Amino acid sequence: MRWLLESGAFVVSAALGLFAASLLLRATGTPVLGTFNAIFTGALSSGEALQGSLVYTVPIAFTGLAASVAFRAQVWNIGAEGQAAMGAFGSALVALHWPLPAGVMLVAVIVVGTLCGAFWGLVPAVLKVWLGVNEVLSSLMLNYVAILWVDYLVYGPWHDPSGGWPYSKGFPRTALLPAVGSDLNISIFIAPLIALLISVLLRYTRWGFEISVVGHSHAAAKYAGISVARTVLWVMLLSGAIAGYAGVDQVAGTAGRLYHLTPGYGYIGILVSWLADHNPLLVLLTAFFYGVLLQGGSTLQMTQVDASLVQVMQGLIILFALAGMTSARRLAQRMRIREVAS
Amino acid sequence: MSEAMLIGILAASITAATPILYAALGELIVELSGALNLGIEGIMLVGAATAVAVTAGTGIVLLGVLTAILVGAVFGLIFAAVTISVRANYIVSGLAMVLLGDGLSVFFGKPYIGIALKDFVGPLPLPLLSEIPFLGPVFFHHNLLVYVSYIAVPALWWFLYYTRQGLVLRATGEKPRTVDVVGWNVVRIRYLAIIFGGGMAGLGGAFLSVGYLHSWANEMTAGAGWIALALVIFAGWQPWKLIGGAYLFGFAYIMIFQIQLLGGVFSAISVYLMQMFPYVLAVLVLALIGLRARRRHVGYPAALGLPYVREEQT
Repeated sequence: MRWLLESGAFVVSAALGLFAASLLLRATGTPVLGTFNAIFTGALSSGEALQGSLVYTVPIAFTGLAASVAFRAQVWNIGAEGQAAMGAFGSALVALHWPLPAGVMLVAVIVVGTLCGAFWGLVPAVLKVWLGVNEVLSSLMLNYVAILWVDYLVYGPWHDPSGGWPYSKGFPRTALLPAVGSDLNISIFIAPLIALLISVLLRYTRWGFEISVVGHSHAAAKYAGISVARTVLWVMLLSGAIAGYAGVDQVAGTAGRLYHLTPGYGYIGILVSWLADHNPLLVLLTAFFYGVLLQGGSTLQMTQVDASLVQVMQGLIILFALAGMTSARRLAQRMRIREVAS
Repeated sequence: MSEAMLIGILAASITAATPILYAALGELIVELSGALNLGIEGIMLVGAATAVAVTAGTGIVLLGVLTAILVGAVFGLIFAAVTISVRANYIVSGLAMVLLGDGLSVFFGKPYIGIALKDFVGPLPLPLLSEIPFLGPVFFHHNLLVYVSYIAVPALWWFLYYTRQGLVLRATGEKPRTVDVVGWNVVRIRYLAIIFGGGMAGLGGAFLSVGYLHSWANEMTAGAGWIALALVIFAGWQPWKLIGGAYLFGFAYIMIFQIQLLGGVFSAISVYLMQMFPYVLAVLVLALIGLRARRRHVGYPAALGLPYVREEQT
């Protein structure tokens, strides 16, 4: 029943958001139906288009999963953007500077990248646990630091001298994630795997239970003998690691080199996780929805319609979804209470 | 360093700090009422783009600035509606607002990228005050919007601590139930606070585009909205400390470029590494406050971020 209500609310909210966006399109003289048609065709109409959508979906799925883990414990990790950037840095560090044999190289690229992301998630966690620093602000500020760090590298010491753009030399082939199809890589299989693992972790293990308790009430956790501090630290390590892999996917999978990393996937992951009510399996779905939007947006740019319009559409849809789905969830909650009470 | 150079740096610090100061003052009011607007980065961007668009379109800067404030207030209203009435998660709402504000600002600012504005808030050296040696050129050789910010701080301080409404506002952030019992409307107070905060953020953005940089560029606020949030905490929710903290951050921004000019070993340090400085400073500041708070109560509003639900027992 609740599923029906929530998905219904999502559809209605998305429709309202699209309607509001269409008003904006109308006001600026852009053909409404043509724009929507272009988005749809560009994102879903062919195998190529679908692959394009999935290329966007994968990193967002990872940042979304990272967010879902953290938010289950009510640890507000806004730092997925920076953690992904550090993950990319870690991969590039290995790929460009450690001559390793094939096989080992790939493992190292993934592991080091993921660990860098985990480390970047640890910093706000330590600050929170030790000094009570609000993790929203600390993880946010660290995003900028991480992004500037990558910028420093791609404009400076690691800049590819043969190219004019801010990126590093290409990774050696042994460092690239094995490809799947023409645009994708093995991450497309890893994402659902991780989602499943997290889902199992949260629902069937003791640690998952501890995460839920900490998420509901620190006091209750303490009375149950659960160390809130330890849970927060481990959760952020895991969250940062998953977000770090999003960065690994982007540089060792899609691009094949280190480059200026701010596509905003970290922030989108948070939105995507919220839409999925922090359910790891649903995150895959909402991430795909977003991937479609982004792919549609990039096709729009080729037809000379402004890509920022797509961002506005995203914002409007999210805002309406926020209002709609929050109301739906509260309604469902009230209905459940009434059911139990009667 | 010559005196002229020092004066130049200090004056520039004040100008650079003013957008953050405006946004932080607005957010101060919001947080004192118990709410928390994470979307001010987006509102600042929309304010900046609106000011540019309206100024370039009509040629009247005042209209641009006022429209930016209005737009900021409207965004504040939307945020208030979503977080107070619908009671949606304020973090996600804030991020959605940033996303929306960013997108809208890019869209409306597009025709003005890279164009130097012909109309902007011009310099207005105050007649007698700017003659004062050293202090004159530093403080009184700015434009109107900077002077307004000088007045805004004591005005808000007076409002918060010397008027009944200010007292009620602060009480709403501490114990909203008490305020409700006495008969004031908690929801209305928070709405008004958030709308005010939105307007101030819009003003901050407008100053950045038509008062300081005289142009528009995508994402030109570069995280100023987030720093404003950190600033409110750094200032212990007190207006006078806010202005000090804002100028400190302004100084940090300016020093990035000044250090490059000092040459020698400094020019070898990449601009990108230097740009990290304000954000690292913000984190250090937050850590410092955490250290202080371990020893004594730091003064944050007790009801900060907690939704007020009349039906529930607190």
